[in-house]
Amino acid sequence: MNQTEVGYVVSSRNFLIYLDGFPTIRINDMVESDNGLRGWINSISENTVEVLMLDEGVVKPKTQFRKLDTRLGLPTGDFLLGRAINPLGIPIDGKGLLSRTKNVAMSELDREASGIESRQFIANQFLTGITLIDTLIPLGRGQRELVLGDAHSGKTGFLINAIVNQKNTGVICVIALIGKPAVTVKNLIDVLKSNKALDYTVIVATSSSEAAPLIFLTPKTAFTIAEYFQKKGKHVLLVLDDLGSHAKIYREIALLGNKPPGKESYPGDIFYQHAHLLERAGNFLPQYGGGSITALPVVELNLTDFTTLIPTNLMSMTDGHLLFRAGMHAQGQTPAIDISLSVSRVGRQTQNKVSNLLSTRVRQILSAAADLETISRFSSELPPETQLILRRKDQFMELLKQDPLTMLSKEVQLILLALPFTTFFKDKTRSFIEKNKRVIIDAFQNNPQLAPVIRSVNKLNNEEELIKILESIGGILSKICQTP
Amino acid sequence: MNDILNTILKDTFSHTLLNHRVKLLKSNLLKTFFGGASPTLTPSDLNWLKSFPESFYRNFNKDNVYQIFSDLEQNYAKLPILTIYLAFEPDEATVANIGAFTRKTFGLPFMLDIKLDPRLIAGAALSWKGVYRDFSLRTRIEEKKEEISQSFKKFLRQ
Repeated sequence: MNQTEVGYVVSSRNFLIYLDGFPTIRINDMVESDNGLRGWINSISENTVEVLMLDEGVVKPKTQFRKLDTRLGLPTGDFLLGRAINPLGIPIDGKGLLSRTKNVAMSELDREASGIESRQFIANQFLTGITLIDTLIPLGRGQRELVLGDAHSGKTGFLINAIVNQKNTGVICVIALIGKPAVTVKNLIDVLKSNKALDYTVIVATSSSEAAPLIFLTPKTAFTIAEYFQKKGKHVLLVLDDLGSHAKIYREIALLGNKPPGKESYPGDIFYQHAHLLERAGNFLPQYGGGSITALPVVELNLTDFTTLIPTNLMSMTDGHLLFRAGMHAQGQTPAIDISLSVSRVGRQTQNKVSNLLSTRVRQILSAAADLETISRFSSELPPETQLILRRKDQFMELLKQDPLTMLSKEVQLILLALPFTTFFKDKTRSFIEKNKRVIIDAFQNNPQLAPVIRSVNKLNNEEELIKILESIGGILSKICQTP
Repeated sequence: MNDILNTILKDTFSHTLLNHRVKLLKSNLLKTFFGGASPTLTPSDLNWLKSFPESFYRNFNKDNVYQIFSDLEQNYAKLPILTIYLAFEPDEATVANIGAFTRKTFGLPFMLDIKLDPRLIAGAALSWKGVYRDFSLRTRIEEKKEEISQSFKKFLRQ
């Protein structure tokens, strides 16, 4: 005799159906109809169970659904590397089936985040290879840093840069593309492939035309995959692009399910949904796998307003945020991050002393320059000290510009930020730096005369020592730089 | 209310038939009380309507007819349903036989819902309170698949 649990459709509304039956069903169990339409249990009431359909199709009243043996999950393993899949683990990159063995374990999508006993202090810096981030707004391994900004402000470019720069570092990258157009997914795969970054990356993607419940699961799948690698002791970079779309999809599901709408019509548990998700990131103790998950959730702003519900929710549940400005991006500032409004609450503790002291000094100058911005138009009449602050701000902003898909080592980043404090740079203009930045970087990366400087950077005790060393190579710099 | 429902249920076993008969009774009574076009009745429908004693019809009047049917619909919606999957489509008499047998055996007030599933090959599958049990030939074949295939192989080798 074959025994299974079944339920019959009582009512249906688009992708949301209500079934009776299923005496022992639990949330996140999977059900399937006779014609192969699958759904997962979202909530259970006294008489009915609410199912969110993962496949599109017509569900008529009284259709029988049977409980599946598997719960909502996907097979995880190293075979996912270099692949693009949908939230249920079905490949979408046209490369054929996943090359997994029969004994692959299924991982549940909706796991509860590990408790405090499994976590450790974030002590190591997560290097992105981008000067502005690694020096002024540093990230730690296991940190959650929100990336928010206007449309066309260079967020995606920055994220791709950060992923490409993880080459040869052992970091695994997992990208969740939530309800993006199919062409975006294709382009991302191509960019990563051409930069040889696909080998250590897993893409979980849903296109905007797919069923809302499937889109809703995208970040959960990405976290499940990230946790698999973290448990193997790997450091994982997880990008969730973007949680604004995710919130909208959840709003759609909730409104359809007659849940009472709250602020901006989002359901009351939208904060829980995102916090529950982001809690899964962190830095873990060796007995819990030892790896880390650094999460970069993205949210696109509406008309540069970051005070709306979802961005503020996400700001409060992350360890800092990077604010991208479309205006700055249009002016050629890449990455277009508003330094004064961006923050990293964890990363600074992971920096070494020289980086920390130097970045504090740079921040002070940028902050002082921002205060003096209004009077900067009278620059010729200003006292020399004020003029110096304004000039240094210009120098820093130019030095912090970084071309897409480039990487700078930590040592070069520190040297670049220390250069404006040297006598050689004291009277140099922004255009001088614009012209010579590339030459200076090349020199520090390749010139054997400057190799000892690079080697000494990590042995220094404070930024003054670094500035002193750089003072001594003023002659070399003046030789390699072209005077305007 | 329960008396009316029990009277209707006496010879009504399937959910579909119950729906049909309640609608039939309602339209017939509405026509009697308020007039209107006569519904087209099949001989079996007519016989069923005639099978009730006069005292049964005395329960209804112009003022309570709508309320009684509204309550009736609510009550019978609560009845548990025993879904029986069969590999063939049974006629009304077979359904009545199955209904009478199951009610006599289990003694519970429930409705039958007969569904056609030719994949069962023979036998039946039952679904009761969310639990589906398959007693069909298909399951037996599945269970004995190895044995049957071995026998076939043996037969072919001879």
